[in-house]
Amino acid sequence: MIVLEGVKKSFGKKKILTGVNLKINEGSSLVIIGRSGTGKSVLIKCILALENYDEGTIHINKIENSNKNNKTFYDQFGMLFQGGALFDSIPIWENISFRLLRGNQKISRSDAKQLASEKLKLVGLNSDIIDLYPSELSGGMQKRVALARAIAGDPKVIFFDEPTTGLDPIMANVINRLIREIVVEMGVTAITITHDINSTRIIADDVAMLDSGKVQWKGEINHLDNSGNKMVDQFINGLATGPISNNY
Amino acid sequence: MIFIRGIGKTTLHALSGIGRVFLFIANILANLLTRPFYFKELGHSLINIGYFSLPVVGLTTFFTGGALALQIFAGGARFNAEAVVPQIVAIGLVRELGPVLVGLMIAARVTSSIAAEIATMKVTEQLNALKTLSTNPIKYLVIPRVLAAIIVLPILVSIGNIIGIFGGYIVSTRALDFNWISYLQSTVSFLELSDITSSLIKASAFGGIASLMGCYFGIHSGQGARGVGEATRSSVEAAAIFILVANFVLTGALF
Repeated sequence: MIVLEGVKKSFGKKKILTGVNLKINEGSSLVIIGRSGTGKSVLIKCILALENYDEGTIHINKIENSNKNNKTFYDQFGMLFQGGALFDSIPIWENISFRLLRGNQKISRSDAKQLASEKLKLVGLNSDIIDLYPSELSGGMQKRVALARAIAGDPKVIFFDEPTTGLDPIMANVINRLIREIVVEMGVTAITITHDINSTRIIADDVAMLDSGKVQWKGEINHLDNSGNKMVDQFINGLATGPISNNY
Repeated sequence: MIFIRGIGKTTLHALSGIGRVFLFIANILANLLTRPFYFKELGHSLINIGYFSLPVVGLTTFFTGGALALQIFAGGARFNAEAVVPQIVAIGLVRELGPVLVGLMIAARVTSSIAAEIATMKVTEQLNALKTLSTNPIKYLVIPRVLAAIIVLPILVSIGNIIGIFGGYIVSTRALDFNWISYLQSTVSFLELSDITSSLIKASAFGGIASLMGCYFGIHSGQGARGVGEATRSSVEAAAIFILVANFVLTGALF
């Protein structure tokens, strides 16, 4: 279980998170929705200890994440970055098996290549691209490779940062369904941030709405359309007027 | 008042920058001797910094050696000392010009490349991706590059010194009518071991500075294309200045 209590984060005078309280149950898929620039990416970077937060606590399975110097801290996580963040100087298979070629989970290069091939198939890609470099792939294929890398070490928790941004509607739908399949089949805890309501409906078990630096509503996906929260209603219906501030 | 405030602001900015560089060095030292070690990355860096810099180092030192021979011949002719060309070319290149020129060429070629590469990795979240894949960017990106430059620069400078002396030899024997045997004898007999060791010590120091600045400015770059551009420019400026300052300090210490 991941528990956030009173998490605050500012960049200079700009307050991004003003006291986030959130519980994410083990094995559930939580989607955090909210307008662009509301601090969704900052929030998951705080959970992953990629950003230091100013106040509050974040516990992952009862261990505070400030203990990031623990060498196994990141072994429990997988992360799909918004732009893929594939390493462009190494081939696809080394990207996918990166964690497994070094460090605590090290395996042989031949096994790593075999595993990369299996993970590629899992995300619907043919293994004949395994020796190509990321720049030789389309955006959608890069996203799938990044997804394969995120799941390669069999992590317990996977983060998805805007998984469908920049993709055409068909590819976005393919990625959404892949994420849902992976979450169900692997039984992992998944945290996805998006402002895409279609993605939310496919991926989520639970939804949290982030605005003005706080969680404004959290509930099951079944309750999204009748949440009783005006901010959620405005967001999911894409209304120009409502309680959500137009100011960033 | 505004003038004094400006001086204070600039001084504080410079001091905080130096402080951050020292913290960065401390971070490198803290990670240097702990596992894991990335020998493959070290090998790649040795080839990138060493082998691929050979053409630019060779051309720079060859023409510098040739020009130096011409200048010393012209200057020496004013007091009938044209015969000192081989000795001055050798000592000038080995003690001073070889390490400094190679250091500056490496600053232009390698520092800029390291800074741009790491800054781009930062902008495209590849540094964060490394962390989430249980890989410390300092160990994986910085230490191999810094170590490689410290190891390979003495080799590059030695090769540069030889090519530079060869440049002086070609010009002296072809254009200035020096006897080739006496030129070589003068060069070899004049150089002392301390000349060579001081050259190699300087080379290692300049290699460390060049790669360190590339890594530092890459890791601390701003966002976007502008951030990458500024990181690259700042890294080359800082590397060149620190190499020249270190050259002065080391020359004084090794004199």
